[in-house]
Amino acid sequence: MTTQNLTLLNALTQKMDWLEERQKVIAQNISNADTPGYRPNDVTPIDFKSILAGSSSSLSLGTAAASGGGIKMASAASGLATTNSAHMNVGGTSSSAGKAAAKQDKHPYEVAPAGNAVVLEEQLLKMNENYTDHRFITNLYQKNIDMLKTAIRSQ
Amino acid sequence: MDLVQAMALAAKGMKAQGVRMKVISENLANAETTPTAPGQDPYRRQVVTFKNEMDRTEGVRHVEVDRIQNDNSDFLIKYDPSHPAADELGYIRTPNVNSLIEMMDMREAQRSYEANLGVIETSRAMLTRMVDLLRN
Repeated sequence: MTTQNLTLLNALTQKMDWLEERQKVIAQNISNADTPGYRPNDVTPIDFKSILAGSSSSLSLGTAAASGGGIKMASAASGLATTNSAHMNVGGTSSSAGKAAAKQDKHPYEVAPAGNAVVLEEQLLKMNENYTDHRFITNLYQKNIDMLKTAIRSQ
Repeated sequence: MDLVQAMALAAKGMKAQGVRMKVISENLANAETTPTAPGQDPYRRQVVTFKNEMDRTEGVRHVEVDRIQNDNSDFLIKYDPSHPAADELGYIRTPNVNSLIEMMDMREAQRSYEANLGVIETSRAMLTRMVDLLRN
């Protein structure tokens, strides 16, 4: 058994991927804070349903959500089906479900006369939020691993 | 590798702001550079413009210095008949540098620089935490 089979750890990894992507997008915004005509981007919020659907097939919750899902579900679980435990997971659950697309921010705080809509304070706030989330998720991950360790040790 | 990319992006931003600081200091240093003979032009203010460039291998748009060009606004005129470059009426032309504007530009550059530095610090902290997960 690897940690890949654990639903929660998988979901946390996806969230970490998303946070890293967001950090990159914010870094891009801040470095372009004085570029004329630049509009800031942000990543699309993570879709809980897609994580639920993509995380584990053995989980009853996951299958229930997948049946009630719809188009979003289908796109999230677009990878090849793994019918054998030896199959490698290609493009499906871990990569596409948690992957976030950078979208242009539709409602910036203000737009400078040069057409630049980056407000440093806003971006720094987002970055801080991102950092706090990241700390939270890494802590959760750590606690989970510790829990597993406890379960292994106490015999 | 997104965090490493984030740091690279911020570094690009800092580099661009550094060029901007260089141009600002050039302007400020030459704020009093007057011509040496009548009819000559004094120092002309330089302005720097930025652009963003698509990095196709990384899929990000980092900032680049577009170009450094002349500010074509009018020179200031000062009455100073004793100056060697004064014309027959006693006026000299002085650079079109307003030190107040330069100071404000400098503050803005500093602010952007610090924001980029903040990105690097945060990204590094995130990266360290990821590495810490592996440690224990």
